[in-house]
Amino acid sequence: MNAFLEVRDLRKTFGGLTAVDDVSFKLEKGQILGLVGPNGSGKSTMLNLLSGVYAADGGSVSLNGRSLAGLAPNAIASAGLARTFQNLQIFHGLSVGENVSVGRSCRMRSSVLGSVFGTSFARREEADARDQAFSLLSLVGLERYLDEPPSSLSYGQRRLLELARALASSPSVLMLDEPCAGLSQGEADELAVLIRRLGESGIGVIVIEHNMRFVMGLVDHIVALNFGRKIAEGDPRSIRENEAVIAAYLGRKRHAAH
Amino acid sequence: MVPPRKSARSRLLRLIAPVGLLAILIALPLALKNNYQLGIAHQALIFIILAVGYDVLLGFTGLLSFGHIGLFAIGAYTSALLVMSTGAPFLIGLMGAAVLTGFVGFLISIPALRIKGHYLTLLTLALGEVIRLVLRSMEWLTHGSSGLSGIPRPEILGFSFRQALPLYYLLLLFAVLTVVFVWRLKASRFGRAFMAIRDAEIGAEVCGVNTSKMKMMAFAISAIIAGVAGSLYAHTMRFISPEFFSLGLTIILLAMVLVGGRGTILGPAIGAALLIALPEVLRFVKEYYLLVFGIAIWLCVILLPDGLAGLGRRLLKRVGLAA
Repeated sequence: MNAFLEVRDLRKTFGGLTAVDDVSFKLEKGQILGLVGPNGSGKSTMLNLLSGVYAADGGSVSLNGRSLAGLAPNAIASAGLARTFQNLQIFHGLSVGENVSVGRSCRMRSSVLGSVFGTSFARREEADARDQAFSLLSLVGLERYLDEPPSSLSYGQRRLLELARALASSPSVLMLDEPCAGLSQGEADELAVLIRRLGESGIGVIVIEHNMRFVMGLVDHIVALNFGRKIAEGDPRSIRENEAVIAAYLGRKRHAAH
Repeated sequence: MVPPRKSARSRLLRLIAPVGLLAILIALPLALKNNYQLGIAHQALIFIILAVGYDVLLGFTGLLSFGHIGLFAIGAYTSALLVMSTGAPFLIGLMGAAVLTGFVGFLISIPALRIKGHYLTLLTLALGEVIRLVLRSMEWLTHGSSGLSGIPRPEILGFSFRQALPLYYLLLLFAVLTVVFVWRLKASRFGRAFMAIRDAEIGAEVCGVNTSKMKMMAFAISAIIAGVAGSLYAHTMRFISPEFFSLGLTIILLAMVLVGGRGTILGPAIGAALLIALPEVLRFVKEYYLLVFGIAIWLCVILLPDGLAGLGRRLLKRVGLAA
């Protein structure tokens, strides 16, 4: 089977620190992949590399056979990779619905003059954006906040807003950085159902999450990182029993797992 | 699924302030006693255009440029020189001013893509001063510090705006067009992208906003509006000199947007009108004018962090009208 997203020998150093050290993995279409590891193991750096926020020092990333090397974040979004942030990146001056519509930016084509003079193309595009924002907000249960400011949302709801916004670009790969933070157990369970549905619709999902119960119950495949290196990979059951992963989490002296 | 329409009542409420303001501006000449007061009103309208355009950069996109008055100056000189030396009609001068300032705004945006925050402000401050110095030293073209005088009043298709009253309505038309343009822009994908860059630049980029292109557009649009305002200024005042376009005017422009409320459209417009009218109203305090002026701005910044527009919004909410 051809990999959908292929990460090969990806590397990033900050001064003397190697934050991501030759990590490779593949993500199939519709697969849900968990990226786990202790704090500082390089998970968020990995997401920043994939989304183009950081430039990699080595290795390659390709999506559907197309290389993403050296692309700006907006071009990567345009190529079909969307993400949410651990430290939220909400646009506070826009309404909740407009926040979602910004996520559609790379799919909109109307010109400045077209928008200002309200050509039929621009008007239709704008109406479609609002319709889409409403359906995506309904998907995460925030539709009644469409015209409200994001300040009326709770912390957990803002994470869901970021999820809706990421979906607005119709991505083929979605990356979620700690989506459960600030959610109750009930809300987290609903989110897991939603993420599974996204996977079934063919979107590849990468999830970083500390809530192990959430990860183990959700993902098909796990990549475990420690000190920037991939220390294990496999299905949730095998990872749970993996010596190197247990050692990394519990801080025991590392066994020769590989 | 179909989203609910914004309620008719809330849309109506949003129109009250702009329509009321427009009605006042249309009727204003009736209340003005002489051509001198009408002249103040001319300046207020020109600065409304300039401040609303400046807000695209400062209020929407969050880019603090201190070079905006330089663009205003280029617009004024371009239009005046085109009309005076080639005998071109006013509208050609105006368009020439808009094209040239738009181009200069685009040029300024290139380094602005790499430089951020205070450094960008310093860079634009230097550019604004350079523009003023160049205008002063190119004597063969601009008559240096003695300035250009005898600039003709606008004439469009044979209709002359030499008289103060028709000129007032011509300027009002341009001000309304600018406000409508910026208002439509704000509601479009471009306005959303500008504000997304202001609120969370990395978030905007990852959402697919081409931040470089959008910043360039904000610079260029804001510059084109400054060029139009500059052209109108030259043909209204009939005299321009480099000293008028000083750093002090940059600060006043900034104050107009901040006092009015940045990121709103009516705010900077009201701020501009206020800051032009204030010196006239404060004439009785004579030499203490700057002191009173300073204290007024200081109070505004402390008491009205969101400017006058923010105050209006809060009052509406207080009486339970705002949606």
